Amino acid sequence: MKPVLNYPKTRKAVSSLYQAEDTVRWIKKVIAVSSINHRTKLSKDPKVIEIIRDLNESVKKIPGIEGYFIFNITYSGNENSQDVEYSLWCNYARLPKTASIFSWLVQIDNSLDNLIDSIKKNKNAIISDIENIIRTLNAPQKTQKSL
Amino acid sequence: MKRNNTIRKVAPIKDFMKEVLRWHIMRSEEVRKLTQRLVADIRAYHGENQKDAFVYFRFVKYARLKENGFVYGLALIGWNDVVRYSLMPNLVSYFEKSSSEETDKIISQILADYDYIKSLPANDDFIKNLQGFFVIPKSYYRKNELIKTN
Repeated sequence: MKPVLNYPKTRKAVSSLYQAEDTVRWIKKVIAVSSINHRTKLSKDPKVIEIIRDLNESVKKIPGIEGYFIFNITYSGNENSQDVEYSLWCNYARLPKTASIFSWLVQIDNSLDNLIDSIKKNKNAIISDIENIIRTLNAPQKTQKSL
Repeated sequence: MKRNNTIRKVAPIKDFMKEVLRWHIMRSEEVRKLTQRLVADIRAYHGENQKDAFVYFRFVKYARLKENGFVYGLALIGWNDVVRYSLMPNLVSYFEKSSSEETDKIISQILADYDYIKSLPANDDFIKNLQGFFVIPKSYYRKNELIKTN
């Protein structure tokens, strides 16, 4: 087998996803990989945990959902400095033990409180974007539609 | 020229798939056209002002070895403009089939219906705002399952 010298961190991250013992641990690893991927640190502020739990619970209630839409809030820079940037990410991952993760930036703000307020205000829009993905995933083929 | 060099330097997709995932990229003209259309749509929408924004997505037909032999799939892989290159790319595998021909047939249908697929709400949002990911409806690759549930 050809040795891989250039991507030791990537290989470690991917193999940690494949080796997750259960779904909960796998989700934690998805979040960790996503956070490293965007060179940010995971925020563990109690307000963050509360809002993330609320978003994740709301997503689970969407009918016909397939795969996992996992939200997390990360920060870049020093948490106590003025140049800190907080971001809400959504990560789509399908099955446990897979390297398929697709992440996107949902919202960003310099203040954690402002970001949380904005998430609360825009919660319906955030969830509606996920509903659109599920609706599109379940859309008929063009030819079927025209029949 | 600079853009292409940058992409080659920071987006080692082939290496990632082959060396890390042990997936093998398969040559497919239709997959190349799918990529061309998606990238053109993203760039067209984001205009000349954002020409240098780093948006690199690519559809790939791949083969990987499972317990009972090779499976053939279609995936979207790449980076958006948030972080140029980091630990691993964004990756979503849409489907895997045990026959390469069946995979090609599905890809042809997706390419033929690309304009319809891109106009679906989630894809419109993806192309315009890079929110979410490019979704291919299950009806294109899970016909039996849909018939059962209907």
